[in-house]
Amino acid sequence: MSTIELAQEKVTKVKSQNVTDKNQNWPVWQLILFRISFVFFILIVIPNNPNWYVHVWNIDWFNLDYRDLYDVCRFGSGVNYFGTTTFGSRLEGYSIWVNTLFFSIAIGLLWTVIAKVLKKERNEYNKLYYWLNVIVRYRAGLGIIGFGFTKLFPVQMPYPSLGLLDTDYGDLTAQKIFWLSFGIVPWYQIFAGVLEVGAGALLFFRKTVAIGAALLVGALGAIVVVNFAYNGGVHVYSSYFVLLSLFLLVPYFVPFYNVFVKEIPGKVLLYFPKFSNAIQWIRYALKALAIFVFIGVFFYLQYIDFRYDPYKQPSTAGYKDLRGNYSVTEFKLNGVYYPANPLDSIRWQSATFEKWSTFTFKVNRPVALDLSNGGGDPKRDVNRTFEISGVAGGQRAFHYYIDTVNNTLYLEDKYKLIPDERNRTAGAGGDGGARNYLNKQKLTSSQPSIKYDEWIPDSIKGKFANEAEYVHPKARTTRRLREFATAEKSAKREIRERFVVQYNVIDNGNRVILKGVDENRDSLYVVLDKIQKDYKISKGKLVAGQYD
Amino acid sequence: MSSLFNSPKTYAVRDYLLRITTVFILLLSIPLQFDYYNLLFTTSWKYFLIDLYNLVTYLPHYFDKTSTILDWVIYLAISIVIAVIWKWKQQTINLDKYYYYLRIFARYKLASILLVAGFLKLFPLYVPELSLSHLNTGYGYFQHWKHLLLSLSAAPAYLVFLGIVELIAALFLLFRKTSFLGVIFIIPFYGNVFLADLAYEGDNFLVSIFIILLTLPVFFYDLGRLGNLIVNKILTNPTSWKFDWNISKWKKHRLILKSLFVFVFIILVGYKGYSTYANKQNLFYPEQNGINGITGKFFVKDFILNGDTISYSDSNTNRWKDVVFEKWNTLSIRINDSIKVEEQHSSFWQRQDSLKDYEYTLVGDRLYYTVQLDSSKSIVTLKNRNTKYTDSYKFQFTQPDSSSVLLSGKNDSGDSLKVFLVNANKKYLLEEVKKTGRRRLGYKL
Repeated sequence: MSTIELAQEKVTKVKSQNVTDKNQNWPVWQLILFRISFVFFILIVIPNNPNWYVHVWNIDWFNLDYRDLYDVCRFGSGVNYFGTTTFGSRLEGYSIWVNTLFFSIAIGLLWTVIAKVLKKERNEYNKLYYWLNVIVRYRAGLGIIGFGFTKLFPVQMPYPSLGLLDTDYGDLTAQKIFWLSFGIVPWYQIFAGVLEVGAGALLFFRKTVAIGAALLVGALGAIVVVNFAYNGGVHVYSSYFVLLSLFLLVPYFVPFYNVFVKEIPGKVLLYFPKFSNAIQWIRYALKALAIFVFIGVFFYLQYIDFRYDPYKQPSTAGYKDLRGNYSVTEFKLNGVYYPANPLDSIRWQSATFEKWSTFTFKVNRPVALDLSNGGGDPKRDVNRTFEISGVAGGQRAFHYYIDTVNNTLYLEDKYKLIPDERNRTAGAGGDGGARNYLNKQKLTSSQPSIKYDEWIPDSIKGKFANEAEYVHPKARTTRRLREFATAEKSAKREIRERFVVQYNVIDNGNRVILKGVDENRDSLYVVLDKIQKDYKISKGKLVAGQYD
Repeated sequence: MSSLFNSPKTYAVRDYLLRITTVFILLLSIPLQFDYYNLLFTTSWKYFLIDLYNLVTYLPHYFDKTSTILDWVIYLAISIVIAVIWKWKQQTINLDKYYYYLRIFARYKLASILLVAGFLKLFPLYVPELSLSHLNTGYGYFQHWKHLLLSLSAAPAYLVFLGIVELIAALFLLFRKTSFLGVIFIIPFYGNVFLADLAYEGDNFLVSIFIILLTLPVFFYDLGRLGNLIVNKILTNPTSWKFDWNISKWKKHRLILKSLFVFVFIILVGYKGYSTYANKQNLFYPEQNGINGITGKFFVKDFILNGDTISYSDSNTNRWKDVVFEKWNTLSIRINDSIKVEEQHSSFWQRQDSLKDYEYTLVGDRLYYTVQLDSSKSIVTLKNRNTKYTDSYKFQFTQPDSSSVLLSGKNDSGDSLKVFLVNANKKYLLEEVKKTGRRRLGYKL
């Protein structure tokens, strides 16, 4: 009992000391540090890419795509006026932060000098600090929610396709291995998504900021390390959330240390302004709107994406009679017969027809590789390249259009030398993808033997004109329709291999014969026999997409 | 929140909760089964890390090779019974003091696990290097648990990071004042491990549950204060109750015990971890070397069974597809037939080569053989390591040139077999991409 009394006494003693919510007199170093931080964090939460503003302006709010909101949440920031290097070094992509910091220090010091000259020095910035915190909270919250929803409905890391299941472990990049290892456990991916979206949502409320920020530091800190270890390429953007969260935790460090380590009383000193009734209502309304759009609507949109159009998988269903794994029983090129031989560099070694519009085959010769993450926002199936990115082993993947009346497959290589820009609205500091290094490389690409215009005759082309509708009506978003409106133009510009074969399914679907002219205008004759693979991996749970 | 922990109304609840928790944690921590003591008394310095890891993560397992929920339910029931008897024998106890003892026990038990597990990750020994056979196995042929371990092998840097976090948390636990901070690190860390265990179908998920259970006494002790401090943002006092070591009869032993703990779990384990790493000691694969100078993937160019040449085929279940020679005495063969997958023999890490089953358990696509070369006669014998198979081979071993191998001999059912192997000179993207980077466009492999 005596110990409790003692503690009680202590409480009253400390309470009588003058501890208020407002820290009235900031020391000079704190004032200067605040001015620098203010400039830095404001700069680092403002989108620096004009494309972002154009995108937001053009959003069709009445037929939204999950990616519209994703792009609102994901943008690059910081001062990119000084380029993407600091003293000539990219600093692993962090140079934009360092440049922004230098810039902020300059402005912060200038601010201090001007305040002194004008004799307008303040004793504290409690109010401004509050607003800075609000801005950083919402920036971090929305950003991580945009990131998290693609895991909460597990589409960021898809379950491996037939072609990937058939790829040897050593023929994958470390990045691919990590992403796939998440893809095979959708429930775990959902947990990661719940954690990210949950942590983001906690940042919307004053009381739970510390919990949300601490969770973000832990989760995103681990993701930063994963990106370095597996060369995932998203380290800067994940570090961004660690940085913002650490800033939000600043008021909590000392009180925590006092109470639990030094074992003296502690209190978090955070000033919250008292709003008039009208302002308070506006505040509630804005908060409710943010929660409605970025949690409610976003949840629905991401569900639609997961259910009907998982963004890393093609949206068109594959032809049912063809789907499966095949061994290559017979292979003739220009009439020359190539017997089975794993050392042969011409013959196809094996093939798959995926449950979506992709045909893959393996060859025993070096092929050009797509070493990207295979993500981004393409709507056209041919540009959804998760199934080949980071994959070697002679695996080639072709998107196909199928004319079931004339039993014809029109195939186009999913690989192209010059990759698309990923996350176009993100810009510098936001993982702009290929743009960061495209212009530094000399690229010589020979024109394909079969040109786009002769690939599909005009008489047939009409059949495939409505590709935008090869997906459930709910997934026919304005974004999709807009992209397909310019699809023909993009396709003409892209340099990729294309060819055409007649297919013939016989023997109850166990044998497929392909006959035609390959990408080099050589005549091709291939007999494929369906085989069952004895995979040991557990079947996909929570299967994304609709391919029935 | 704090009223919940201190109010006189909840005294009886707290009293029972403390007694039950204490008994339950002690019961789970005190091994009563023979295999633990067998392990304890055969501990060797060479396998110190493995042995210690098996010992500190030991849990009751009366029904299976690993602990099951049934073990825990029974133990919980026993704990309740003991707690009731205890209450009956001793009506009042000083809750603060007993809770303090419980926290000390939980902290040190927890620290012992985290230090061993942490050093195993810091010097990435927790998973082995990827074997050539695994690199030449199709992605779909691994079971989920193997996928988790392989993905850790693919980038040891991540494992090192996890080890550092674990070690820092363990060090925090050694001091009362920082133990709450340590626990704040561990709960999400092992919460995540637990979910990964479930997702990847690991069979030892109760270890991570046990670790989380051990954090709870420390966590709940300070949780109310944390809530007041960071959520309610009110003036928060530190704990008022203090244990006075000066009047404790344990005072003179305290320093010795603590030093002993530090010596075993930090100095010895740390040193052993480093030396195992520096000497490249193999904890998962056999230690005996393979055939000198022959490692890598080989194509099976000719395959002659009982005089008949069998050509390449994706359907003939007799023919070999490719062969991998490991650095150690394993040879693996890819075949067209479906593989009878073997489960791990035990949840303990194994010392003897013959019991090291990491490479061939939870995976298909290939068969794994122990290779023995009698170099005087150039005779190679192969024996299937998977216990679901009994096949073996005896071959005359010749090397027509530096990049090929000729095996000719008989299998155990007397069929004659002649196999001509040529080195595939396989390049792995996983390795190559580290040299070239991912920013190269048009890179071919």
